Amino acid sequence: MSDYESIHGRRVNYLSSDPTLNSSTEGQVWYNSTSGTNKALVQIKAFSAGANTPTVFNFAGGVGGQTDTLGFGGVGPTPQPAHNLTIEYGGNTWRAQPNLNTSRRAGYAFGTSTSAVYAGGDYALGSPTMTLQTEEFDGSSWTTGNNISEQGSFGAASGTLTAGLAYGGYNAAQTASSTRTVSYDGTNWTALPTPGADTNTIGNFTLGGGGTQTAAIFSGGGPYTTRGLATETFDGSSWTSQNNMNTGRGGQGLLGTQTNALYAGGRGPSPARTAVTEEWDSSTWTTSSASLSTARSASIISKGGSTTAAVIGAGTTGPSSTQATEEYTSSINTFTAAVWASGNNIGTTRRSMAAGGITSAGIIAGGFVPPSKAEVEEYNGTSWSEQNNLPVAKEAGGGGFGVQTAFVVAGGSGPDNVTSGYSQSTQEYDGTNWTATGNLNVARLGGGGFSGTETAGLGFGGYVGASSPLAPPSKTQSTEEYNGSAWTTGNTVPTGPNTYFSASGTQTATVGVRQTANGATVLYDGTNWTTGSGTLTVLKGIGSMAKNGTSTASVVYGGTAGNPPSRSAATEEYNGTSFVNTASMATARGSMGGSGNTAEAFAAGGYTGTANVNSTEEYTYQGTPAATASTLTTS
Amino acid sequence: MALFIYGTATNTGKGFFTAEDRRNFFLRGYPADVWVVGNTEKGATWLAEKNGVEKTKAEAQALVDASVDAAQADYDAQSDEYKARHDRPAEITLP
Repeated sequence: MSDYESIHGRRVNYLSSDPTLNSSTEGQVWYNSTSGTNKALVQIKAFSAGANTPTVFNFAGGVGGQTDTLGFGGVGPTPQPAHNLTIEYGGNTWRAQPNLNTSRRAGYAFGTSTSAVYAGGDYALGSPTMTLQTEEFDGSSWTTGNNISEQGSFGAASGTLTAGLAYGGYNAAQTASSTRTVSYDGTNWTALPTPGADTNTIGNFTLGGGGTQTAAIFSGGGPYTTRGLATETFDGSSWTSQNNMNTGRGGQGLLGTQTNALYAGGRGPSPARTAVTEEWDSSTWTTSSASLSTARSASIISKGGSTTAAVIGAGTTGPSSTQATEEYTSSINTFTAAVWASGNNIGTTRRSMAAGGITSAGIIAGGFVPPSKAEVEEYNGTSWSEQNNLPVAKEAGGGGFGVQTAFVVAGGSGPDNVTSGYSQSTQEYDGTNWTATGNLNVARLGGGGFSGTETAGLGFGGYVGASSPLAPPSKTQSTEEYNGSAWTTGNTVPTGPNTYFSASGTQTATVGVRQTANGATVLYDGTNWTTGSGTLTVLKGIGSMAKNGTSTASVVYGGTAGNPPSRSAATEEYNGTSFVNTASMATARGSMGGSGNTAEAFAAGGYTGTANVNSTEEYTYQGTPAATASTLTTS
Repeated sequence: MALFIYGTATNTGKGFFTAEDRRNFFLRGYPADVWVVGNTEKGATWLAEKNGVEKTKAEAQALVDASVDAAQADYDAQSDEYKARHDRPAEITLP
């Protein structure tokens, strides 16, 4: 049996500690004498689920990278004609983009997500169903250009809008397969010399294609047992055959460049689709340890992707179409997945408490059973302990902010300082005792966003009651700032489907998340409200938000989701740009007492839609990706 | 093989389910102390360790249905103002 030294020409490094883990360490094997283990830093390859496409896309064009994949045209849900839809994947969802002018499938696609070209194709509306039309996308709209020459459909393409290349597939009349190559300069198509610039293998259903106009590459196609294995590279003048793929396939297409390319899925060698994925390193194809979870062909592929980051969206499984998206990632980094674990139960089962602090120093106050409650409990990360009650029992509905030893409860359903059924009262907590301070200007029960500190707080939006002079509707856009003793009115929060928010941040940098389907964010800078980035992906009503997070880092969890809405266990982390669905709570609930910061959060009590609960769950955020060495074991 | 194990167990608080438990198997809690656990060795062991009582899916669903019925009756007895601010408890179907 060969040993490491005879295979690699050197011995395994003997180290007292792990080396610096980065890309330069990748592939190294060493012995850690302190831990007594053999370790290595290897690429971890995997496909992970992305968002579904909004409808079926078979034989659509695709360009862009993993975070800006553009898909356009294709067929579905009906077999014919093709549609003219365009969608863009931002890493979380597919967003609609302006439609093509001509519906078609299987055209020649190349360029980038903001400078794309789609030429030729078939299944267009009307007769004949073939089209030679070229369209260019500038990020805002598609404009029609000169017809493609020589080529018709089901071939491959490479390059940019002003230096493109189309080759293989069917001829313009779609009467025979073609080996011709044509170039595009942003205006005109030019047929390259034949046979000099012809591909070496003839076939169609190639699709894909990577590289540039003078350094192009393609693989696969039909017939699957011959052309399906073939790889060729182009140097600007002629094509050269390269090493075959390991699995012959077509109808999907290669993505990447001449030195770094990926082929995931496809059709063949049997009529069935394959999930096999291969990586190209400029000379050899290697089968990846990761394969698609859904074998498919005719997908939207991120042609600007690579062997470390790519997107495969929609396509056909053979018997049916799929709208599933899978992201391919190959990295030395791993991260700890977000997770919820159980905490100790609260003493008084209830919902709609005011809450503040963090898991290791949390507080809940008041709430509702019914009736309204005055109980206050502090959490130390292990157990809850009862503290001095609120001066009045009140259903606070989220109207709390601050930390465990400097906490404020504002508004609610208490019997004091009532206007139109709800309270304007404010109480401060110093870790032991409660003190009444200045009233809110607008009495509100809940559904409003509260953030900040005991000396610089913020409250906005919310529910003001059916009998309020502000009703109908029973909501307010009022914004108020708290200075430790009094509330002053600020600029109103923007209008929208409703004025129910959750909030995170400070008085001068708060993000408000509107509690509705695909709820958007609003940002407060201490004076003005502006539109933020990102929309909720799952939740409609929000149970709690880590209000001691920041305006660019927080988490929302629980509440309602689905249609019709029901209590949800969903959790979405906010990164300042988008919401990412992470680990769900164990118990679906809303109206919890919940709070946290950018590292941890808790959910206490709440309502499951059937009954109040007394359980607590503790959240650990998804970790930051970091290079992680693998420990080698014997087997 | 069925995907899930159904049972009842009392949530004892801290440590009832850990982060490692959540990463190792499917776990969801429902009214009436009903828990649905992934049908794996680790899931089954967890339920046993928590002194859980395994139920058939029908038995577990019946417990949840009874809890929902009681909650709906309680809701129907509340004031109009309460009903204006809270939705009526909905049916829950176990996975």
